[in-house]
Amino acid sequence: MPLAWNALPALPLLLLGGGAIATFLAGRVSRTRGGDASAATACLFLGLAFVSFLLLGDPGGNPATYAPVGEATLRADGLGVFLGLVATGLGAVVAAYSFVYMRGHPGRPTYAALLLLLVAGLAGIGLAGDLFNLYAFFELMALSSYALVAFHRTPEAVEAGMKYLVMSAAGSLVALVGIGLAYLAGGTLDLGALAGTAMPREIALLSAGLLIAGFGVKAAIVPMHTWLPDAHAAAPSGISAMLSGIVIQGGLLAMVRALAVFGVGSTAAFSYGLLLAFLAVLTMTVGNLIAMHQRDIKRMLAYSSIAQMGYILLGFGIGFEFGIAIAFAGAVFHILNHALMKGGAFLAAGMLQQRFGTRDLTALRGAGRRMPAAGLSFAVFALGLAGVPPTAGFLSKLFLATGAVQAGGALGVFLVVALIANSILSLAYYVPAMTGLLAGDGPKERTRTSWGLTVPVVVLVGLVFLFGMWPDLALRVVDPAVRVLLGGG
Amino acid sequence: MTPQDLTLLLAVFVPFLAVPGIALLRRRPNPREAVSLGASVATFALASVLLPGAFAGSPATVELFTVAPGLSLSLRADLLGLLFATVASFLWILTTVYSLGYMRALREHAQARYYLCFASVMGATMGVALSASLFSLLIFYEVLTISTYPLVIHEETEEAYRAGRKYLAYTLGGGGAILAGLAIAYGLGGDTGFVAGGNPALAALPLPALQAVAFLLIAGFGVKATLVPLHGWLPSAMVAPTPVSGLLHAVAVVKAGVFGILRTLFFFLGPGLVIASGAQPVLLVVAAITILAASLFALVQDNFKLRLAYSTVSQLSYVVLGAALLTPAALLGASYHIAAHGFAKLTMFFVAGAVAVETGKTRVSEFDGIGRRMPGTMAAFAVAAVALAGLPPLAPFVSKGFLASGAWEANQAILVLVLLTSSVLNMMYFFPIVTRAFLAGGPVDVREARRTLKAPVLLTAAGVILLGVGIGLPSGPFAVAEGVVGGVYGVVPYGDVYASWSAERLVEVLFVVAAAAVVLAVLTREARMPRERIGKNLERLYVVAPLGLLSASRGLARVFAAVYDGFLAAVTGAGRAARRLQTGDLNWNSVGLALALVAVFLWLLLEVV
Repeated sequence: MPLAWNALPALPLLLLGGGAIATFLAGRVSRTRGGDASAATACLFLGLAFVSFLLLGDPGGNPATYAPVGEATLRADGLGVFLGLVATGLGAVVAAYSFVYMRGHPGRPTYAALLLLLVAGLAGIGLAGDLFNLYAFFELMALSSYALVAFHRTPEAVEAGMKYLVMSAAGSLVALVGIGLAYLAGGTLDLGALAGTAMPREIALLSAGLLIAGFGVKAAIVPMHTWLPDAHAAAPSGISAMLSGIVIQGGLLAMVRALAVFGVGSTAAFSYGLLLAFLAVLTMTVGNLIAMHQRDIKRMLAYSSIAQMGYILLGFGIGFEFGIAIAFAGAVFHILNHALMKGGAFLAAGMLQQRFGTRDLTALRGAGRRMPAAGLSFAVFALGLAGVPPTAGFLSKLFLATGAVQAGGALGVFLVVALIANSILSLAYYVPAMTGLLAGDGPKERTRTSWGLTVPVVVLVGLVFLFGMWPDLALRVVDPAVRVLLGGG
Repeated sequence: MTPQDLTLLLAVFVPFLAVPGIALLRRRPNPREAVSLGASVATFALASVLLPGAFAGSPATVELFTVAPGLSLSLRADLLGLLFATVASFLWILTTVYSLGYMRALREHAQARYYLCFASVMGATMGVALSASLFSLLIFYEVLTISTYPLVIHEETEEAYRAGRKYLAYTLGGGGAILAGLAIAYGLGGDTGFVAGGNPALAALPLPALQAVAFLLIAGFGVKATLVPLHGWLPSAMVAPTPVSGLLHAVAVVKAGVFGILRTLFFFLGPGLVIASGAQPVLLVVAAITILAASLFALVQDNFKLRLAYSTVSQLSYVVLGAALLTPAALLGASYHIAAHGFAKLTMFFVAGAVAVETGKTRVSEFDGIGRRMPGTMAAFAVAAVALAGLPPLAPFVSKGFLASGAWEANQAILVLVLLTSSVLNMMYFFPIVTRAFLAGGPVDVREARRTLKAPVLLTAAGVILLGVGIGLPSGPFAVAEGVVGGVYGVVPYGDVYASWSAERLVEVLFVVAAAAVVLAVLTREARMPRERIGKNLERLYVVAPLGLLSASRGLARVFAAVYDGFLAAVTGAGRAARRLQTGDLNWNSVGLALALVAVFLWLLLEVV
């Protein structure tokens, strides 16, 4: 049936949206088992959405497009499928982890439903074929994440949620003006059509600036990062994993999607890539420097996310400026790897927090010994984030560095040195955190750990090694996304 | 895949395969150690089997995966790799036997973890040795870094953890520098493979990029090769159990760094590009400083293992110096010194461990008279000490001879002087241990080391002798080293070290022998003196002779410490300052957004103008 096949890009969104409702209803079925039922439903629908993205697969040069209403189109191109796979995949892992982690919390059905909406927003950002859809799904993602940050309703969480809401809403507004200007100048909202439209230079510049600053808030680009550490530290650990792992990257990809209409490399109407690259250097340096002095394990990871966003942004910036494929590949691959590593690190930190009742790194000294699954996994993730082989983080960092070199000349050397110096700087907090957790001079008796928490984390560890040693598997998803970014479809 | 290629694959992965075996048998010590021993023997056998193919010029090659064109995890068993691989795996066999005695005698905890990490380290070492590209080498190099960490912190004391953190920060930092060099070379040259004489793809690099590659790679590998001032982690890492200090911190880990430099200079950049990049003089100066400074540091150490550690720092730079001279004879000396120093220094660490196990003594000043109670062990030490001083006919004599010839070839007579000075310094810090042990009066309640400790000691000492007198062995280590030089330069200098002695060579040897005689005579007199006067007289000897040098070395150490502290303070201070910028106040947060908007527009406006 051609009609149904055409609508395939809508399938993941239907699964996620419908899943959110189903999840909420499942929670109402029984007072005692409702929480488990809703969590299981969430896992099921996230898994189904993941499979549906696999079905969309590599669309090649002719992505499936579906326009349900007017100009608003859904287009499953390589980048969209990539984002969808990472979001639903990490979402499924987090949902599985939260099954045990959130057990006993009265709000579980709401939690699970919000998680699905969050993933739906992310998937929508990827699938959006026009600026309207892009913005709408961006807001869906943002709204559900506000609620999730403040989910515990402790003063800390509420304050963090409030701050997040105000900052992010201000950013959204700025981005919306940028989108409006692009529409004004280009006369269409469709991303593909806009890319081919010549716009008045001044309006295009204004629009690009507003888009960078607006979506930059969500992507935690310095100096718009200030909300992030509070929000990511206060959220439930599963949600921290989502926020750091894919939500801020979702914001960045929304920016990238929108900016791509101004052209890539030599076809760009004006140079904005270099600006991104310098913002990236600033972002990674500030993130690393502040992370160095954190004593709270989740705040440290949150700041490290800012630094890692810098690495990713560097890849996009160089890619846009010079049209270098391997820089785009590094950025996209790093998004995938960062989702696995940072997501995993937050989940491992959550295990420790739940068992030992603290996030303080000094108090957690030796905790990894008593809970080896969490401690060793955290060590793997930390090494991966630092870019040590044979983890996947090494390969993506190598790609990014290679891309930076190809920017050429003194600029290329500067960017490489900035990247690597930052990655060495990051050792100043990854190494003490990791070795402190695994130090054996505290109490030695092991503590029981639920399989429901261990298995999702161990799966992520496995993937970090798998993509580090057999990157082909990951690159099969990354390469189509890179082709889209280069404008090849 | 031919049988030869399979052999290559197994040579690297047999040690890794032993890891799960050891983990499964963790509660059954005997079978567990049998797995370790079996893996070490198998690894050595596999590496040896690869030699004929490498000599025949058709080395085994395996490609495991390709990330992108020019970026593949691949192995190749060429002669330089096999030299390192066979030496390391052979010494692993002896170290496993030794560990058995050492760990059980001391009733060490977590022995399963110890053997498990040891196997993993050896696997990574084989990988480093047999990598066919810089990309593969870096991967194994970092696996080596990580698997060594649990061995460094084995004692789980505060000191051990501090040493572990220092170790990781230094070596992972070095790995970062290598990554940067790799990225520049790959980004502009498009290839990372090792080719004898240099990878031609790199010739296209513009000069600044070439310089960046050369210096980044040398600095990166220089951390594990303990080039001064990057050597700080090694003395701290001596808190590890002695077999670890022996095999890893004298052979496997540190030699991986030296090996990386050899690969970089002769198989990646190639001598021509090294000269073009201007790295040669810098490397020569750094190596010469390291040789002398570390010897001076060694001279003032009373802790036996620390003295050995600084001696290692010094000896490693012999190899670096030989590599940096970029002449055939120097390369021959450098390659052979990997084997020569490996056997000699491992002997010394084995002795240190044996003495510590049997007597609990760890300080040189406590060694009085133990040689008469532990004659076999201390005789082995004497052999190693004589060897490292560069006296004929032991192994380091051969390698140092070629290094000196190389220095003459390169018209660097001053480096010959450095080598000779270092030989004398070696005598000054190693010979007192021997004379004290055998000549001074000492305790009577000491027994000879147990068999599992003594046998490896004697075997490595025998190896030192054999490597010295047996350089004519077909397919022996010397033949392999000659093959390495042949592969890079196409010519092999001086078929036989004893055959053609130039006048300079004769003078050098006579000088070293004479110096040894003088030092030995002085020390003998000192050691025979009544006990209460020994300390004073030994001090006088050290004070009168190198007084200026000693204070200089202390001053140098202080300068390094100040530079490190300043750097660390600057970085942490910047971190604190950045943290202060972070405010919880929402009003200020929105200022960030405003600032960003302004900055973005300013930038874009500049673009328009």
